[in-house]
Amino acid sequence: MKNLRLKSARAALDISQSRLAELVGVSRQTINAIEKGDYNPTINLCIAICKVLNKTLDELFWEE
Amino acid sequence: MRTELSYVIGLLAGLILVVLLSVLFYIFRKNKQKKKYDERQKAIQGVAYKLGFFTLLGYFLINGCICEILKKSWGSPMEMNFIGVCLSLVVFVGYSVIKDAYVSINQKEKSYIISFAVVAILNIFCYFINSSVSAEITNIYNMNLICGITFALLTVIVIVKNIVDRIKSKKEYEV
Repeated sequence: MKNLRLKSARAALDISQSRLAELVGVSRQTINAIEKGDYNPTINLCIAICKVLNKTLDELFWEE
Repeated sequence: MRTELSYVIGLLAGLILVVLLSVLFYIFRKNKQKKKYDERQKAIQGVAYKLGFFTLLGYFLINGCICEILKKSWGSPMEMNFIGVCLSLVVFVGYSVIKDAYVSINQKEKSYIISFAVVAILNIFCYFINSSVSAEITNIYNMNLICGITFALLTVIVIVKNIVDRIKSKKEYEV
């Protein structure tokens, strides 16, 4: 399932996928895969993404 | 017999030289950064290793059956085993490249394209030079050809992937 909340949170801060990947410490393709719903990140990666985007886990990764 | 002995000596000398150069390069490399793979890449590499392993198993099984049916080997033992190894290598690297799990975060694809292409060209060149110099038609130079074809295939895979990614990134809107 696509993670549109992650994409919109990233867009709200005007950060590209590459930049977010760099800040989190993963490849751009991994961020792309998470946003497309092709990859389920581990809890550690979820936390790292939330810290960078200043959001909570529920806001970005909880199922609606 | 003399030709085979000189080939084996040359092969061993070449292998020792490659190992020595690799060790020296590793010790004195300027950029001491280790290859860094993220969790998704490591997971995909695990799948790629599995696919490569089963490819090798499958190849040995099929090859064994063929040799049993024919009641003779279609090539030298070294050639037949080497083809199996190269096949599994192509499967592993090919799958990893397609799933964006071969190139680490702190590396670029260009370096791999150049390395693969150089290895392919050198091996194919060696094969043709050795074959033209040697009056006898022997299969001892086929290893170079097999290695050259393998790395040529890998070069093509990486280049095609690079081109497809560039086309995709132009189409996709990225904030």
